[in-house]
Amino acid sequence: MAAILPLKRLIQHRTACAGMIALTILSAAAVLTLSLTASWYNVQNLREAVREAPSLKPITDFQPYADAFSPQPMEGLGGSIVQSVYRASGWMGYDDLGRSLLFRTMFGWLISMAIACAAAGVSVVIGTAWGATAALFGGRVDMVMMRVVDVLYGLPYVLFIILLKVVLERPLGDWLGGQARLANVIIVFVAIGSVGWLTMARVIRGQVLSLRNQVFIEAALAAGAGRTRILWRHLLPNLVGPIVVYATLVMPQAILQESFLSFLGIGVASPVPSLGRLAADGVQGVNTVVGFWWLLAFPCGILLVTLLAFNFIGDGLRDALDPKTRKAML
Amino acid sequence: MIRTAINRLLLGIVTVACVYTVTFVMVMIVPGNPFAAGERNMPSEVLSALEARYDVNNPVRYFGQFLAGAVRFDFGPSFQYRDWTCTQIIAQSLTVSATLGFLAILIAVAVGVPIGVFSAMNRGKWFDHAALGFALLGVSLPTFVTGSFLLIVCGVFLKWFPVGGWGTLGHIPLPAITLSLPFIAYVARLTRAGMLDALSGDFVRTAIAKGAPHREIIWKHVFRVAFLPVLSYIGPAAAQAMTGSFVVEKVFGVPGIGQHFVNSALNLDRGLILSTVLVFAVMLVVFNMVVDVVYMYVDPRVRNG
Repeated sequence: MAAILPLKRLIQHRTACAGMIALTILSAAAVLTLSLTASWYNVQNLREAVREAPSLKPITDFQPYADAFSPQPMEGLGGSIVQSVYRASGWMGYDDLGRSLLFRTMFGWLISMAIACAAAGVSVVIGTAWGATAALFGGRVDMVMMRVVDVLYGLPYVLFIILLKVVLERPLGDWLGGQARLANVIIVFVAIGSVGWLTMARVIRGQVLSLRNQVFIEAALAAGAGRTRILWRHLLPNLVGPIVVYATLVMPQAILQESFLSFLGIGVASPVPSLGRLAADGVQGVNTVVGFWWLLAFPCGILLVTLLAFNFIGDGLRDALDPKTRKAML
Repeated sequence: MIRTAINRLLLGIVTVACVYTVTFVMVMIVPGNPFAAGERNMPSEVLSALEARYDVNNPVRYFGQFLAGAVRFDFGPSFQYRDWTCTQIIAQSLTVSATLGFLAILIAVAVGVPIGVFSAMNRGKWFDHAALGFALLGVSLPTFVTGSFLLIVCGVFLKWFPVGGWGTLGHIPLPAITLSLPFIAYVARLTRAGMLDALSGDFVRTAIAKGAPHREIIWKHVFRVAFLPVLSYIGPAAAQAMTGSFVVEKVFGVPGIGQHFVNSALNLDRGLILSTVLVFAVMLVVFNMVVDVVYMYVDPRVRNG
């Protein structure tokens, strides 16, 4: 019963509901078209579609290339179904290499989502463990562990990521057998994940500190429950609320951080798209001289919807899970 | 109280020292130095003279020397900008960034707090959703997008402000607003959550029962409690805002300190990396302490132990 009430309140929360619907639609669209976008996000049509504005008119001279540097027409793409799919992809326009922005945005959305999930995962696991341990042991352990968090807060994040990339990217790529793209994505995951857990650790520590002194813990101790049992059966269930809320709030931050890294040119490496990368590329295409507005507008639109959705869901969850907010009197 | 203050100060110094050491180790781990043979064709005498001047080959001595200089605000020469000392670079760019950052935090509080209070009062109604949604726009788009948008609309089309640069009053508003957008969202949210939390307190019921006017209850009783989380957020936020933002500086062409955080790391400019890191860490610690002091004045529970 206890789990049903928050769920009901979450559903009654209008903006959270809108957020969930938006995310469901986006993820359904991205996952269902994954097989198409994963193989087509980098297919180029240099002859006609370079920086073609969004339109529904079919491209007449269809000549896709797999690689801009060796202009060999792609083999085995003559099928009329494939061609018509590609032509229909034009309603978001094409980028400077004649790649379908629709396909790139869909695929990039998934990459951004993966980054967000990785960051949330790291912050849930490390942040919770760190904060809970510090609070449970208390005293000197608590002091040292929280000082570590303070120091990490004090390190400028950009510097940390740049150094991480400089030091680790090439060895990691060699270790993975020359898969430089994979190494790059992993470094971005690690870099973004490694910062998100700090806030989580602080929040969880505060929660555990206040829970620790409550009567039900004392009761469990009196009943002869051990430390581990109290941690798993009594503390963790009470921590699920804040953990879930902060995980939903870490996700949009991670996506934004990746976009910042892409703006610096050290995010997800070309040709792999991410929402942040597409937005960063799009900004270059819109100024007083040129106006390739669709390169900016569509990725940013999707980015905006996604991040608003996450934030609304996070706020809704917080409202739904916090028993105190129910009885406000004014 | 004085003991707490001294404890805080000591802890702050320890934190800064740790940050410095960790950064130093990271910088030393990175392979190569700006003068490494092969990158530039220079005679070996020149190379060794340069390495001697910048102490490239003796990390231990450099560690001590830099720290000894930093205490006296002498951050030594920059590896990249040969004619400048790090102190000059930081002094120039930090004033710019501190001005922008201070204004950005002011804007964030001036806009975020009312949004938070009024959306908490209208919880669940359309105003709540609209105001929060508006505030959330600031954390739902990358700064380079919002900044470019403001620049194109207000600078290029409406011609209200000059397009980028620094030096006159007209150059200040656009970057300050852009910088404040993410902070507005957090302040609004924290205020709203704090208000909702405080509204359910027993003292509100008492005040209502005594017949105090609603406006007085909200601003005198509830808001004073609700503002505390905002206050503790402002400390680190101010340190962050006042040490600049690479994106804002890049979009608006502002000569702030944020660019040096990124460029020094990309250039492996050891002197500048360490100086910027120290500046950031010291500001973070100082602002947190300032917030603690203000907290004591605002919150009687803390003041009286």
